[in-house]
Amino acid sequence: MNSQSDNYMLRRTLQSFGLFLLSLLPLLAQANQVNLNINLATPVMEAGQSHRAFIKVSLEGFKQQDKQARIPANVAIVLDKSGSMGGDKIQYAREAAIMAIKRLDERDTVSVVSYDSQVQVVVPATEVHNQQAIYAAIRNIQADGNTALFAGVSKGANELRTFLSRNRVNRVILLSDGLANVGPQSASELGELGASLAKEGISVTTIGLGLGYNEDLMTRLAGYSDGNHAFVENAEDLASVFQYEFGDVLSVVAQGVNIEIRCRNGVKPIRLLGRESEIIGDRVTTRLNQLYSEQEKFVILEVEVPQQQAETELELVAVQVHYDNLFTQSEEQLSGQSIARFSGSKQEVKAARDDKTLEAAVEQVANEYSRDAIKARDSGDLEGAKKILQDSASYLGSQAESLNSPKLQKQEAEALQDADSLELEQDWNKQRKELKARQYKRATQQAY
Amino acid sequence: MNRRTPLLLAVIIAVPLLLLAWFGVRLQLDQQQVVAHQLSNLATERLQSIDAQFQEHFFRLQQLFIRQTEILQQETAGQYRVETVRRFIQQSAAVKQVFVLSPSGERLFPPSDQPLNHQEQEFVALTRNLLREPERFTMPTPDPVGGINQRYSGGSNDTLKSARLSSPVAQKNRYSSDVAVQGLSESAGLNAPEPPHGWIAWYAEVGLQQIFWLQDSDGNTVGFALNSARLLSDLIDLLPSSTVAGVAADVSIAPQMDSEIRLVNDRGEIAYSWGGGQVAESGQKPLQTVPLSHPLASWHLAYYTSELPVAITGWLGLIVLLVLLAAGLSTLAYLLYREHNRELRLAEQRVNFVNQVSHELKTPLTNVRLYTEMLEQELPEDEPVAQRYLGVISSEAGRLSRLIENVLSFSRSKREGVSVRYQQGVIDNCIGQVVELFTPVLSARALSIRFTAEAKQLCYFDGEALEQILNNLLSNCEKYASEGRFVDISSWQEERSGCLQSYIRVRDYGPGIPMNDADKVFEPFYRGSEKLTDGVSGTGIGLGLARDLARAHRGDLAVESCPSSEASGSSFLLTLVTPVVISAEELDNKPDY
Repeated sequence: MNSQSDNYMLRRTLQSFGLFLLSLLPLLAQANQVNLNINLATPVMEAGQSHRAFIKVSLEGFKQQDKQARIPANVAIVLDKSGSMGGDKIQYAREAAIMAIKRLDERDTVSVVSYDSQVQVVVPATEVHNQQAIYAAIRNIQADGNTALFAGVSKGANELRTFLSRNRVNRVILLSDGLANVGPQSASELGELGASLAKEGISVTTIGLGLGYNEDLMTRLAGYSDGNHAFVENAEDLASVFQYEFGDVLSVVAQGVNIEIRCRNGVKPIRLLGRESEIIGDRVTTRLNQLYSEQEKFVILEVEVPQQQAETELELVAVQVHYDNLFTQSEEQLSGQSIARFSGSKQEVKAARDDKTLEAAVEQVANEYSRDAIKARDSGDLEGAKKILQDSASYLGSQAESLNSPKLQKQEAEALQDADSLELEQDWNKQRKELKARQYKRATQQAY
Repeated sequence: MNRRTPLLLAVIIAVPLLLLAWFGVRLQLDQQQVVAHQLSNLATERLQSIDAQFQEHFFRLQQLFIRQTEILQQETAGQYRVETVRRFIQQSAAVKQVFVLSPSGERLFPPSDQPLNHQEQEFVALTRNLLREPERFTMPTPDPVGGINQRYSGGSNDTLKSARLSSPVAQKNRYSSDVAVQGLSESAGLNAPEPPHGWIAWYAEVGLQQIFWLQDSDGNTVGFALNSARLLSDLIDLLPSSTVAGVAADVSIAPQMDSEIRLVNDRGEIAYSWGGGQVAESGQKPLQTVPLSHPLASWHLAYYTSELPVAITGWLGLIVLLVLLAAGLSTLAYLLYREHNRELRLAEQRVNFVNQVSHELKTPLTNVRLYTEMLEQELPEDEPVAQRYLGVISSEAGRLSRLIENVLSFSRSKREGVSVRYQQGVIDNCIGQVVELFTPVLSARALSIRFTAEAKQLCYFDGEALEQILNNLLSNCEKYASEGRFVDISSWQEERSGCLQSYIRVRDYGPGIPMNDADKVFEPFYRGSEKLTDGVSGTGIGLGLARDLARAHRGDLAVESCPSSEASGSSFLLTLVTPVVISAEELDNKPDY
């Protein structure tokens, strides 16, 4: 902290309380605190009937006040060097990794693991002092052999453990262009691994290159560990994706975010849109591995509200959030609630509508439709899949109109386009990867 | 002779080479077997050490779980509150799910009276059968066999436990060597008696799943189901990674480069492999496989290796040795062969020379004999001295002429073989002529011939050949048996197998021939013992030629063993086939003698 902000806070502290010394710490935290917002799409509901309501719980990471004062990163880059990566691809991958590492400095630790049929630890976990040696080691990677993806991720995570700390951003960045064909290869097994790593505070970002990789596996691995996922069709774009990813990594402000939502007064949770969650009775819990500086992450909870009399207020949910603040290096807690009012007047209901929240909810609902469509298409039900997307489009269209939202209009156009492209057999592989990546980004509000 | 020599030399080269090659190959094969055996032992050791590492991992997990159960029990006062357990699951990376059974077999967790989350529901569905029979977990600890292992394929509960039971020393070592790693549980593990516990491995979903269970002090059974993906990941992290190609030009890593170890799961798929790069092709068999211990039974480790490099250098050494030896022997053989050839050529030249000289001598000798005979006829009876002298000249000339004839015959026989010209006649008459010819010569040596003639039948034979044979035999008698007084010649004929055979025996009473020399006397240029041949001239070809002639005549010439009654003297028996009738072809075919 510089002296100016100290002074600022000192004044505020003196205004609020008399005891400067005691209150300095919590107020420091105040400035560097995550914002919790709980919005109800329809804060006023019609009385006398039950409703489905969307509640948006959003968290926004605070601004990194000083670029120099960022959180140290602990990164393992896991590169696929199987035979299919030969030629330009591996070259671009090497250069992208090197470019990305250039952004790190002495505070950070990095390791590089490559895998084909076997796993090679190219750069064991090390502090970033001698960058040239790291680059030289990376430039030695040559493409050959099969794809032992599971072992690669395992070894990458193991390298991370050398410097594993709650006060670092612990991340495995996995690049693969092919199907895992040595070791475990199912999406569920990789998902289990991802879930286990998340428990340790490690997230896995998966970058799928080209059209050969298994997008289910890659999104699952990323999803369970709350990393990012990207589909890169051309190897030339790898560098920019790596840059985005490292930008994300270097802007993490909080980690280990647990969101617990309790439904009150007979309100029943139906589903949590977007993220993996646990619904037990009236309790919904989910987890985000990290929050980035000035990035909003949210979840949409769909609930069923029992019918109420007019002119009453009802507490729908109470939300509690725990997270590790990386700047104060302490565990912090936020809480909030959502209260709905019931009214007989339709105008009042309409006037009170929270358009931004509803827009976000509609976006996520349509995203779920899109996922269902892929499932239907996978099971061979082409018509069903098309119908789902068309329904989704018309839903988006009507909502866009009533909300007057260009964003939803764009999504509607996308859905229609997706519905058309479902039929093109030869493009489906690429289409599916794009869809999966897009869904993933929507659901997790990924920055790039 | 000329063809036999190179053959002989080839054998001389080949035999030691083959012997050496055979021994070398056997030695190499033995060596290879020994090396392969050692290698496989080494591989087994290495794989077993990996298995031990895995066991240690499970042991650490076990200690951790025992400790954590204690903490859970204390925190919740034995109640295992749902929230606490869920929080534990959420924080524990290695654990997928936990279950708690009360002493009476009721399920405390996942709770049976509260809503479950998705994972818990799945787990309950998966383990329904397992949890329904809680007596599986109440099995007393000291019973290493029985219980679970009969019910679950591959799920033998005893391996880890019985190992611990049967070797307390090993376990102590394990404790002491791992103090640093598992300080968390050391005191609890050592001092407190361990609660009943065990590992269960069973097949569910996609593969082998592991559960560790134990009984807490209240009799509740607490089970930890491992996250199998995480388990594999942890095991992989225990194993070394492969070296980076290109960077790893280090010599010290080289021995590691040519072997590959694979961890193979229960479905026979490679879960992880490390070691040398392009070692194992798809069809190759592993050098050694070792099944893993419980609770990873049905998994195994396989050790692959490339062809033994040591053996290749061994073979190379052997081949170089053989090639060098072959070269050396060949050079030696070639030198010998050249020397031998030169000697042969020299000998041939000598024979040719003798041959030519003999030819040159023949013509003047014929003239000498002709004129001697003419002079004998012309000389009046009353000049006995001249007559005697003339007789000597005549007999010596005859002898010389026989000698030359022998030499010429010998060289001819070497050149073109011996041939026989049959003519009709009586054997005895022919013998009589020779006896008459030799009588004066022998009598000069005080020898007299006693001729018993009983071969009077008219038959076909080669008179010239017979004469030459007898000449040779009788001149031998003259040379070597002069002290014997008599020379006995007997002849007879016998009908044998439809053919008339004539026999002629020539017997003297000289020093005789030792029986072990009996065959050698027929060899060309062989001369008997020094004692015998001292001061006696001779060419050494007579008997050999005689036998060749006899054999050409389908007969033989042999030395007979001495009759026992008389100590000295030698006896030659000549056998000839002398047909009474002969086909015209046989007559015509051999006209050129």
